[in-house]
Amino acid sequence: MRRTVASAALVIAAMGLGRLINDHVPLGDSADRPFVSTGEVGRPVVLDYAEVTVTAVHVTPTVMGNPASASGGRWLVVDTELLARTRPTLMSGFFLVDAQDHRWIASTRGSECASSASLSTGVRHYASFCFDVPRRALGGARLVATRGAWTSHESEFRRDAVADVDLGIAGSEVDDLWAQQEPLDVRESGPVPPGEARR
Amino acid sequence: MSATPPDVREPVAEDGTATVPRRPSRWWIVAVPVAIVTMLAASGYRVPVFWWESGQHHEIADGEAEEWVAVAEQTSDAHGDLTRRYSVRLAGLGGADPAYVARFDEFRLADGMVARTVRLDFRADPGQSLKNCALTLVDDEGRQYRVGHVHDGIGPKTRVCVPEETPGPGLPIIESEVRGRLPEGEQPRPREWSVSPAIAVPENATFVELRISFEDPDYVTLRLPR
Repeated sequence: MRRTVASAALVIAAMGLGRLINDHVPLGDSADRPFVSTGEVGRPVVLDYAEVTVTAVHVTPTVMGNPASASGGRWLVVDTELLARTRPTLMSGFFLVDAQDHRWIASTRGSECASSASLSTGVRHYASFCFDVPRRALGGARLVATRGAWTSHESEFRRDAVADVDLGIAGSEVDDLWAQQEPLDVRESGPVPPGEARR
Repeated sequence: MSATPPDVREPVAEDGTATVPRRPSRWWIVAVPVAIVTMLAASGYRVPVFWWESGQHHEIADGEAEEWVAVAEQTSDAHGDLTRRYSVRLAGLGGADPAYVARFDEFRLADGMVARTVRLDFRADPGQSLKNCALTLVDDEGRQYRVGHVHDGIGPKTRVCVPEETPGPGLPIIESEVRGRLPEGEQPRPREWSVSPAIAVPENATFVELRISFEDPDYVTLRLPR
C-alpha cells in the first residue's frame, strides 16, 4: 500500500515538473528563434552564409518600367548588395517590418523589383526590393533578409541566420518622403553594379 | 507509462507455504531502446527531404583528373526508373579571365574573382539525357563555386555538359513524351564531345575537386592534382 502511494506521488511529481518546464522554460524560443544580426544602411551585415548590405532607400509613388507601376500607398524601394560567402545560396525571404511590427512582403509589380536572389559564391549580386506600403509603415521600417520564404509564422527561417537592417527613416522625415513625386528607375537585379551597363 | 506497479507480494502456494518472491517486471528494459528508436524515426522524417535530397551527399563515382570515369546513375522520369550512363574526363582548368562571358551573361567580375573554364570530355550514347548538369569546383577551404544549377545566379542553366547545338534528349516529364526523342530538326548528339563552361572563382583559390551532379544527392568527384 505504501509503495503504491509512493509510486503515485512520484508520477504526480514528475507530471508537475513537466508542467513547470513547459510553462517556464522558453523551449519554443530555443527551438524556433532565428539568429538575428542587426545593421544599418551602408554597412554589411555578415551572416554565416551571406553578407547583406542595404545601399540605398527610396520612397516614390511610381516605379518606372514597361509598364510603369503606381503604388497603392508609396513604393518603399530598398537597394541591396548581396554576397554568398562559401557556397551558392538562394535567398527567398525579403520583407519589411514596420515600427508596429507589421510585415510587408516584397511586391513584384514593378518590372525589375526582385523577390528573391540566387547568389553565386563570391559574386556580388545587386537587387532592389519594392514594398507598397501606407504612410504609417515608413517611420522606423526595417528590411529583414533570410534564406527561407516569408510565412506567417517564421517556420521557414527558424534557427536560420537573419539580417535585420534599420532603414534609417525617422518619424519626422515621413511627411517629406510621402510628398516626393519623383518616379524611380529600378535597375535589373544581377551581378552588374547599378550605374554600369552590361557589356 | 500505464504499466501496473510490479506485484512483489509473496505468492502463497496452494498448501499455504510461502514460495520464492516473484521478481518485479523487467519488460521495460526491452521497451526503452524500441521507444528511443521509434522516437528518433518519428522525429527524423525531415532528414530525407531537408538534408539528404537537398544537397550533394552521395558520391556515385570518382577518379583523378585526365582519367576516364564511367558513371551509372539511377534516376527516373515519367515512365519509371532508368540508369543514366556516361563517361567523363576532366582535361583541366582554363586560365583566369576578369570578364564572365557566357551565352546570356557578360559582365566584369570584381572582388578578386575571375572566370575559369572547366575543360571536360564526355562519351555517351546519343540517347542518354545529359542536360541540366551542374558543375561545382571545391577549393581547399571547402568553398563551393557552381554553374548550371537551376538556382545559380550566373551562367548557363541547361546545356553545361552537352554541346550547345546538339544537346541530345531531355528526360520525359509527362507520359506522352517518348524517351530519347529529339525536338524536330535537332541533330543527334555525337558519341564524344568536349565542353568548357566558365565558373566565377577567386583568382588565388586552390581547387581540390570538381563535382558533376544531375540530381541531388548524387554526384561524381573528379580530383584535381594538388
